[in-house]
Amino acid sequence: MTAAGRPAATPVLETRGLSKSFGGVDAVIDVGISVPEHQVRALIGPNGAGKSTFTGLIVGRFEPTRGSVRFDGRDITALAAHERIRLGIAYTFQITSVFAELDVRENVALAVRRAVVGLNLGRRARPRQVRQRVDEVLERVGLQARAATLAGDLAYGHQRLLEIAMGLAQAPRLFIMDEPTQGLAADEIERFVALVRELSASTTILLIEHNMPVVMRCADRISVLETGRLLAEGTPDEIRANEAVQSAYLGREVAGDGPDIDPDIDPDASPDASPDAGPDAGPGGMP
Amino acid sequence: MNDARGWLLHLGLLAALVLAWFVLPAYHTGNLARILVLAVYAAGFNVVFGYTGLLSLGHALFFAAGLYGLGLSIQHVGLGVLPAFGVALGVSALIAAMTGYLALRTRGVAFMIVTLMFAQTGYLTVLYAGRWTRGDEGFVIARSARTLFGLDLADERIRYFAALVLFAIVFLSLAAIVSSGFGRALVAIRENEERARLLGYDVQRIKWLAVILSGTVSGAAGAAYALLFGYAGATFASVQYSILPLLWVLLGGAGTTIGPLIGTVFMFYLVDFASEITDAYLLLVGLALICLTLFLPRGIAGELRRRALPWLP
Repeated sequence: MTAAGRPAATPVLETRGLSKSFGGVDAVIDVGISVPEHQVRALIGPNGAGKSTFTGLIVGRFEPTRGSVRFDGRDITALAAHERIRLGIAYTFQITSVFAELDVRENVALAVRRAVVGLNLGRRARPRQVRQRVDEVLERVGLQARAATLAGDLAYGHQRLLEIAMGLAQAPRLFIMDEPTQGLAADEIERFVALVRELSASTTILLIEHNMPVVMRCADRISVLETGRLLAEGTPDEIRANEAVQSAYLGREVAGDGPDIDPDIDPDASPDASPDAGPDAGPGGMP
Repeated sequence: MNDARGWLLHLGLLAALVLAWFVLPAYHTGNLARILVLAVYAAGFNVVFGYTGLLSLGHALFFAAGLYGLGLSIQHVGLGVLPAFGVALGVSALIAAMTGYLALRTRGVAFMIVTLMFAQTGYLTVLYAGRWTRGDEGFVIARSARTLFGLDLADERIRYFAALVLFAIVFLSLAAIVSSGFGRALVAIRENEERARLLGYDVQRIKWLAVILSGTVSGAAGAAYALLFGYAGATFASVQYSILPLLWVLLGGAGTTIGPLIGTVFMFYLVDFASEITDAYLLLVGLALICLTLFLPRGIAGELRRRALPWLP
């Protein structure tokens, strides 16, 4: 992992005054963040804080009301979603979105083929090249045994992993993951944390996450959103110590570095995160 | 196709169709020539409906564009068969490009209605231009004008093999296309458009290309129909001819390469058989269709793929 806050020439991702309102409701208000290369940036905040809207603005799912998005120093605010993705952004959905009727291999192959072929539809991705890359990626997330399963038949946790695999397959410059560990079992979360650390050597990661132990262990820096605004930003330790964050989001118990700061806002993640992550996921268990 | 079995099936089917000429009685080979041309139409429709997941109710526009593109340029311009066929392909591709561009701004039910309206406009245009098209009554293309490389296309045998050649070209090309990266992208859009978009696929452009491909193949079928059977009439531009390919593809198996042919054969003989039994043959046809949709919702080839042959392209 890179040292937190290390200065970089051009940030990979930069937003300036990014705002979005839906029919008069302000979902995101003047959010400016700057993420340098190889950083793992976590984005946290209570439900409804505007995290998913914010990432949606970055990848182009929504048009901002105001503000701009820069990627590698280039203003991409006017680009369509698929054009942004092609510049090297990968995105995993908060609500699992895979090709349910296609098998796992084809799901990943679709990501690989697009990344290989790029803008040119006429160019063919070589089948062997695609197959190799798919195998590589599936191996990396641990889904190789399920390559022939229909994505819709996978367990929920495995669908999350498949989403991550589809992102990995694109070898992105910026990897945006919207609650990737939701619904994962404890050992899968361990694997995910290791993967993120490994990835941070080669890519920049924006991680929206509810599972606090995961955030604390993965992130170089954390940005906290609340009711659409950027409330605080800093290293995990700074965020832990930040009083505004404590009262706004983390609530009662922040002092310990254990998993008990997992806020009770995510019923899906809690069963996995709270009891299981405790003994073996604490910082003490780290190498 | 990345699977040898796929190619074997396709080539085997074509071989069987060659053989059919020598084995089947004249009545059936006559039917089969017609069915092959209509199956090309169904295959064209299948690109948009079966693979891309867009329900168009206006494909008669493209079929008629090919039909009249060829018919009028032979009848009134005096073009030869090949240039007329070229005109037909060009016109249907152009119309598909224009209507597709506009219709694809909508989705779902709106897309169905917009395509239906475009096709109705085409139908009314055919009637309006009655001086040349002779409207509902239509016109017959003289046998003397229907020769290609010195071959009389009105001859039963030549007609059968001409239809088969066209079918084979379309059948094999589409099989290759749907298993290419482009074809897989169509399926991705059908299965989950937003995910495809956020994998970086230019969904709008790919859909547009699919409509153009589909419209051109449908136009080729229309042109071949006019050429081989020597007649062009407004019925072929009517809404009925937009619904028929939908039925054929649904019955045969949407999103399969062999489905369109199976569906067209099935439907043709279902009508043929039912009308031998009773004048109210549509009643029997309707019943059979209801049973099929109840018990084989994915169509014949679709169920085959699901139950026995997962490699079916």
